[in-house]
Amino acid sequence: MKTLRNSVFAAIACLAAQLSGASVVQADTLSDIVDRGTVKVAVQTQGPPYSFVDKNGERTGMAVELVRMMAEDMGVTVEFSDYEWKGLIPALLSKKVDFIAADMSPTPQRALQLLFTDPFYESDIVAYVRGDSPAKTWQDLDKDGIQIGVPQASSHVKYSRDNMPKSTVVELSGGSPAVAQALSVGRVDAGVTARGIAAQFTREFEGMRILDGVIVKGAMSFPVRPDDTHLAAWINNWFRIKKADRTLERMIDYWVLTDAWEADHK
Amino acid sequence: MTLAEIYNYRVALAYLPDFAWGLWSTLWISAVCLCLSLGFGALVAMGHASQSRWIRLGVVSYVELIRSTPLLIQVYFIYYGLAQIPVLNIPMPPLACGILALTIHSTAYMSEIIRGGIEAVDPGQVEGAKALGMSRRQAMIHIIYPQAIANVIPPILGQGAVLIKDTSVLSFIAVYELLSAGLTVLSDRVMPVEAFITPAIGYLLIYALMLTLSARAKRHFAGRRH
Repeated sequence: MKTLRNSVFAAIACLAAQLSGASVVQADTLSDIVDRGTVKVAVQTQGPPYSFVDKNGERTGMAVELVRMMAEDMGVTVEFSDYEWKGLIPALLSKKVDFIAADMSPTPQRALQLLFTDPFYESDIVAYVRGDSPAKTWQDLDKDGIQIGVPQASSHVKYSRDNMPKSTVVELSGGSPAVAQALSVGRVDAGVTARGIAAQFTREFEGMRILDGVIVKGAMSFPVRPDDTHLAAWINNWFRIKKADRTLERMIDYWVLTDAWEADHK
Repeated sequence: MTLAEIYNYRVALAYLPDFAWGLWSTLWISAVCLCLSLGFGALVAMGHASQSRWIRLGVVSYVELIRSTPLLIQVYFIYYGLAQIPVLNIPMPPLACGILALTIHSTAYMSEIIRGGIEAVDPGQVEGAKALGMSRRQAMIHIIYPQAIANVIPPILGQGAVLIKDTSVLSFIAVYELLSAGLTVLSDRVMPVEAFITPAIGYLLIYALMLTLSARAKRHFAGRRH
């Protein structure tokens, strides 16, 4: 009996070794991209300034334009796929896309599953309110009964819970635009998001304003599959070069820090 | 390949309190909506049989409006839409909005089930009861309703199972339930398999329970009918 059990274990161990051995010969996604002449990228069209559809019906935004510039340097075309936040990671892991170009925070826990590129931008995470709110700084929101809207399952949930523990965090599907909508109709008392996005809402909704102070700094990077080190290294190298020649700085100015993009796209 | 490579139960277990809380929320929200929609559903079914044309028109319009639009739109309308209508702009937390939306939705379906159950009983039986000297009221209480209840219990349990799954839509407006727990795992750990399979197992368990109850109720009442 014991020998039978041992031989079954041995068979399972052999099978496991073969299965894991098979993955040693890794496909290099970057070579695939060059071979097929197309880079497949997942985006989340959730509104200016990172990813949206402009007045001419064209897909644009900082994340989208960064990808277009990368594709040009790779000498390939881009195939964008649009996903809701919940769909981005499954799309990447199931190889529907080569990488994700969304404003995703590279937390230590997420980095266990994904390979994050270096951050291309560190954004202020801020709170914004309606015109009738008495709050002056984000710390004023840390009170019982205050409802703070955040995009569902985003890193803003943790930022808000950790820094404003007395308030109630309300997780809404549909990204920051859904939060701004809930805020404008009075379903929540404040919203939390990146400064560039909050600034957009202050222009879209009358009276809406950003509260003083920065809750945290949120790093933004593009995740790839964990074994795609070549692709991640390529993107990191691209970010370094574009930082050095000030392309990235100009992009951030145009899309995030000023409303310069509005003249072309709104 | 180990189990943890396919489904990392250690991560799922680490979020067990979240899943347990989500499962509990799903169950009690469903139970509340089921009771409310049964009560209101019976009223709506009575409205359908009303003498007044206007009540009948109102009831039919309501049922058709609900049945022809997706639940998600109804949920969004209650949460975002109502707040923009001055008279109806009552401050309501997401949970209240969610229960309201799901009850309004489910009531339409329940009323149709109840109406169908009553109409399925042969109207000749009322005449028969009257011939035996019963009043119309007595005929309804002693002859029609007991048979109607036997007719509607299985489909009501079936609709209850649908209702339980429908609670997942409430996660879109910040109601914490079974799917929300999965989304927490997705956000924290970016592990879609653990994030979506775990709630799916929860829904499957509840659904199996409902099916068993439904089959049992069917047998119980089928035995009583003849």
